Amino acid sequence: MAIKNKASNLELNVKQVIDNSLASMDAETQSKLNQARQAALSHGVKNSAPIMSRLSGFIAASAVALLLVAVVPKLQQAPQNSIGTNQLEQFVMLEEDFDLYNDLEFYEWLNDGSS
Amino acid sequence: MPNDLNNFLADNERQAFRMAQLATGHRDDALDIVQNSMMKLVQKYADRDASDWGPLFHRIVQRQITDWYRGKSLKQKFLAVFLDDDQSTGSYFEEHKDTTEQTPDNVVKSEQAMGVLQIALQTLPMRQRQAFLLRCWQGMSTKQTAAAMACSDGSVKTHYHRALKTLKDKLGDTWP
Repeated sequence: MAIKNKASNLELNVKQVIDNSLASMDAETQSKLNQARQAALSHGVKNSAPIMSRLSGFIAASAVALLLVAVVPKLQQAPQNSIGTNQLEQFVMLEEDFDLYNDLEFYEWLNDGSS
Repeated sequence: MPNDLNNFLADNERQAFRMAQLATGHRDDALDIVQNSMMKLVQKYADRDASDWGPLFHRIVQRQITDWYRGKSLKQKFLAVFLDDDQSTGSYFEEHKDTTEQTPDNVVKSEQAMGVLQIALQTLPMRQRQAFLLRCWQGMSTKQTAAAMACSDGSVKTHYHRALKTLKDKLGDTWP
């Protein structure tokens, strides 16, 4: 019990100290955060893409990759122990599509309303 | 929607910055992480329901922190061979060193406590640091933390337990 109370006091103190640090954040940092926010809002909205277009891009990229797996080995006569870097490059997804793929499980979690 | 998103980011930017700063130990890198995170949220998830922005933003920030850590590890290994990198760490002490003379005692003590905490946090492995800050400071549940860190509930519990034990040992009974 004593050990548990000790841990709880530490946790409370950590939270308090960090919360206090937010209140005393210097003006320069707050100004930079404001600038960052404005930049994100102005540039981010311009470059945003609807989710379905990104999903379709992912599906298309996957389809191309599968096609190349089926076709390329027959066209190339690479040595047995070669890596085949061209094939590897064709498997690399765009960073945005990869992030979207990773986020699909996260979307399911959000939709479940789990907390 | 832009106003709602602006309000959401304005309400969360300081916390996100402090999270990134405590996780990385670097003020400028923390600012970059926050800006990149805001950019990603706006670009990719502005069309989501506003109630999703919180969990999404947490996840994006934690991913940015993890990416920073991986990039730093690679960079350190590379630079160690060629350069003697003695740049400041952007610690909390350095950020506030010019203000202590004009600041009330209680604020000075609070800032000193924060500096000690930051040093202690830097001794933790990155994942323990993340889990501890999300659970202890942000008050997130194990499940929410696991979602933000993209790991299992069990991993969160392990990271948190280890972090708490280490910090108890380092900070002792007299902190803050």
